[in-house]
Amino acid sequence: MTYFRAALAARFSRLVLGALIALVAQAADAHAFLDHASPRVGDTVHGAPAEVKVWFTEDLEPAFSTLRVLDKDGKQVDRNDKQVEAAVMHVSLPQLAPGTYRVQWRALSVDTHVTEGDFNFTVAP
Amino acid sequence: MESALIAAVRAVHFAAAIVLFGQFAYVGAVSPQREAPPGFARITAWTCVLLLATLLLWLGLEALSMSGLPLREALGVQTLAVVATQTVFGRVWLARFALAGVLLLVVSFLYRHPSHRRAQALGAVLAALVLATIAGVGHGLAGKGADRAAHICADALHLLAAGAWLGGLLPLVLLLGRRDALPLAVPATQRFSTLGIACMAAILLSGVVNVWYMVADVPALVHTSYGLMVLAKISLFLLIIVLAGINRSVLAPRLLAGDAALVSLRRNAIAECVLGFGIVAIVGQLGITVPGPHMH
Repeated sequence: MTYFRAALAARFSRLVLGALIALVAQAADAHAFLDHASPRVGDTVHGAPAEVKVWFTEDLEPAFSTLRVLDKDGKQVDRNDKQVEAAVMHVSLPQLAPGTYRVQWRALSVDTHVTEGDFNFTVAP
Repeated sequence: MESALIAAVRAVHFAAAIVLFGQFAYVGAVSPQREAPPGFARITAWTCVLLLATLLLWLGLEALSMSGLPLREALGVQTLAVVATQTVFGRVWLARFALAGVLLLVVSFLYRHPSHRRAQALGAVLAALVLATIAGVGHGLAGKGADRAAHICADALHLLAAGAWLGGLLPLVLLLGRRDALPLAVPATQRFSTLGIACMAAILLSGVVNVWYMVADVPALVHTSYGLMVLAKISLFLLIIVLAGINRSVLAPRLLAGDAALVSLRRNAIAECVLGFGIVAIVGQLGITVPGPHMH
């Protein structure tokens, strides 16, 4: 009987711990981070891409999420027509000259967390 | 800076919602004659005001954080309107603000008629909705489809269970402090104990649902500040379990023997309250902290 109670108590304790850890662990997906992009991060593409598309790990709020493409002088070169669909954000591009470009993103996840980042890609002739 | 403020406002808001719902849960499930507990009218009125005030602060701080704009622009009508109407947080906020506004009217009525049954029932439903809908702006939104719905439902259940338990404990503490507490304390303690077990089961059930989704991230928790907060939360909760166990198994049966058990019971219940609201403070901070696995 004592053994049974001890086993039950141990099982209960594990359940409590598991539940507690899970409760706080739920925040693990709670920030939208870059999952992958097209052009890929750091990639060299042959021919100018028509757009930059970035996939995130969580759905975004279109209202305060931004995506910009800058040339080597820091000048914005995209068409400033950013669109957000669920966890994907994209912006179209004019015909880019060969060179290295920086993509700057700011993502507001649907659960209100802001993340920011940037990456480069290169357009080869 | 705004992150720390958001954490503090979230914690106070959660605490207010828990206290408010707990008052009604106590009336419905603990109070032997469904009488309003000590201080019911004042506590519900002031916590409802606090609930609305923290809701407004929360909106302003989120507007500041979401927009990244300077204070004056972030708190301008235009930005606040975008936040309130074009984000999930804002739309849920609008619904919760409306619910809290109606709840304030009900609570104002109860201030003069604390034993009015229908007003009590309406207040209980509204307080439950105000508390449960916190899940609609939480981390459950991070999922997709059915997983998102299940996660949010589990969070809502968890909030309600925590609210009934921790919020309901506060009126019990006040009752146990009264000079003429003993005759009422015995049935109230027994009924609260039953409520506590039901709430614990609900907390565990909702927790297991979350384990189902998030267990892969557990090992990384112990190496980060996020993880340390988790461990602190678990430690506080285990202490509460121990105190609740002592109350149920040792002190409650001795309550009929006299005031000594009553004093010990009250002391333990106060300690549970302090630990419980300590957990609420941690939860306020956890919601804005980046977990280890996602620190790039």
